[in-house]
Amino acid sequence: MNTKAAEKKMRSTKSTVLLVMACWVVVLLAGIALPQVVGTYQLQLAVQAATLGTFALSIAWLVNQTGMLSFGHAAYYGVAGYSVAILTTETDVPLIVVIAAAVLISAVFAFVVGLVIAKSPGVAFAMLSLSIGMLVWVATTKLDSVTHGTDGFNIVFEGSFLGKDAMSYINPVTSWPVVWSALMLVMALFWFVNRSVFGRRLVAVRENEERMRFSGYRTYMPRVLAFVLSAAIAGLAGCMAVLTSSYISPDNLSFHVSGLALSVAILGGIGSIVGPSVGAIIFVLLQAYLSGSSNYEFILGGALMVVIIAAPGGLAEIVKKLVSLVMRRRRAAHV
Amino acid sequence: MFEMRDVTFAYGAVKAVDGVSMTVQKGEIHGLIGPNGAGKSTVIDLISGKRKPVSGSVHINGEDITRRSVTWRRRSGIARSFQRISVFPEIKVAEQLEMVAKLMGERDLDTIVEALQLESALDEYCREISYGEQRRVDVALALIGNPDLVLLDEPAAGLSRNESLRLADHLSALAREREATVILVEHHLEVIFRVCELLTVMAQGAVIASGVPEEVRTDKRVIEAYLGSASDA
Repeated sequence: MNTKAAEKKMRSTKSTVLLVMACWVVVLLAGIALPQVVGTYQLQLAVQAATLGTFALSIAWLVNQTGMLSFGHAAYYGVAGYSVAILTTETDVPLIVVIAAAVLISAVFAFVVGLVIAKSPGVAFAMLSLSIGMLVWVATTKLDSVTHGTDGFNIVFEGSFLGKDAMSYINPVTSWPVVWSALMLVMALFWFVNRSVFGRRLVAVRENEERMRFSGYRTYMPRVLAFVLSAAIAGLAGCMAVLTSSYISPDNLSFHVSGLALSVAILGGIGSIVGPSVGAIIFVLLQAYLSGSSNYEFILGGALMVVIIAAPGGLAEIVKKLVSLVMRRRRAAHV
Repeated sequence: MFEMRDVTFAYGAVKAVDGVSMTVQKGEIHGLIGPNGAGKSTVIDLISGKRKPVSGSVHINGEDITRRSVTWRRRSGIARSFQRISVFPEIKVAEQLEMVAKLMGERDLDTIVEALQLESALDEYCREISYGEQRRVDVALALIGNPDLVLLDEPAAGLSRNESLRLADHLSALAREREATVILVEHHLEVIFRVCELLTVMAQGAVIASGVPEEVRTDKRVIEAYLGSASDA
């Protein structure tokens, strides 16, 4: 609109991007150095949290950006996981190609599903996504010859992956840099998508789909594409889970898995890119240190209730509010 | 030129629009009035594509657009505002205007912003601005892209008398400047008589009168159905 204002805005946008990129590099490197300061058990927990965080972020991003609440995202997580298992067992293709193909298969499956369900608004979409999730879960239990049924798949990886023995990724010291980098790359991807023209238009569709259509924008395909992107990331998380455990079973596709990822996303902050990972860390720690008495589920449920009532934006919102409070006080002290 | 030919629409068993025909010439500001439930907003919905008629047809410049989608119509120059304000609450005013401007290839957003006095609201989120400003953002979103036909559904609803008249003046100036055809649904008769060149009056889903405002004011059927108190005043 106003040229001077636009120039000022562009300068400020540029400096924000540079600052965020610098922070991102520092956090990425600090994370990669984690094995230097923690033991193998803690690193194993970190691998679990990063995988769950990636999966939770895929669901949270979809809700936050489009308002589409998926209760069946474990289907895409599982389709990719099973694709890795089947392709590894049945072919001699290098693991990196297998993982890329698995993510692609998950995305194609999501595209077909998205074409059917992305037109449905609100609760109808949530219920349809749940139904698809249940169908895929049932299929994995019944198709014994392909999926090994309820016994699940024990996978023997052969060859190397990113310069290391593929089977060694079961060791968290080997797998941590990969799952951590994958999570950081997904965060960066979503951050850029959110700031892109496509991302802003998705928010506008979420805010007022009718007005967007009356502004000349076809809303259906962007919703499908957002769903596909989210499912592809869920698929990547599924690949990471299989890579680091060498195992997949129908349990990985159950409603419980989708519900858990959604819960940790809400706990950490569904509207933030970092929030779902924070929720995943808390869940994994609770599970690890309190699972003996099964109190962790009680505590997680209680924490979820407190967060939803007191801070709907999750722990990320509480941290954001605390930071801005401290900044305000500092500024006031300087005046 | 815009034309509706014998259009009928029903909500279940209730006929909301019953054989409505209407012609609006290019560049005309045409008022559509009538008591509550007359079918005015449904007519706007039928023209904008939000609803499809049961029978009859809608034409613009001779082309039958009855089955065309909402987005096709908007891209072909038919834009609308809404009776219930329709904006993007969590997006800043400037961003939403720019977003729609980009979609519609609008190059002169400043004129719309100035005409609707939205300069001070540009950096605010839509949920944070006043009701009157939100109304003006809704109208601005409709005016972006230089549409040939602008459908305004009660743009002055909820505004004070002064705000309404100011908005009416801005709208008529902008419509003339951009050579747009306007169909204006409004309960605020002072606004209607101030800016409209021709009026169509509806009651119970049907057109009961049409013509220049002076004629319509004195039409017996109109006085009976709707305008009695206003014409007395």
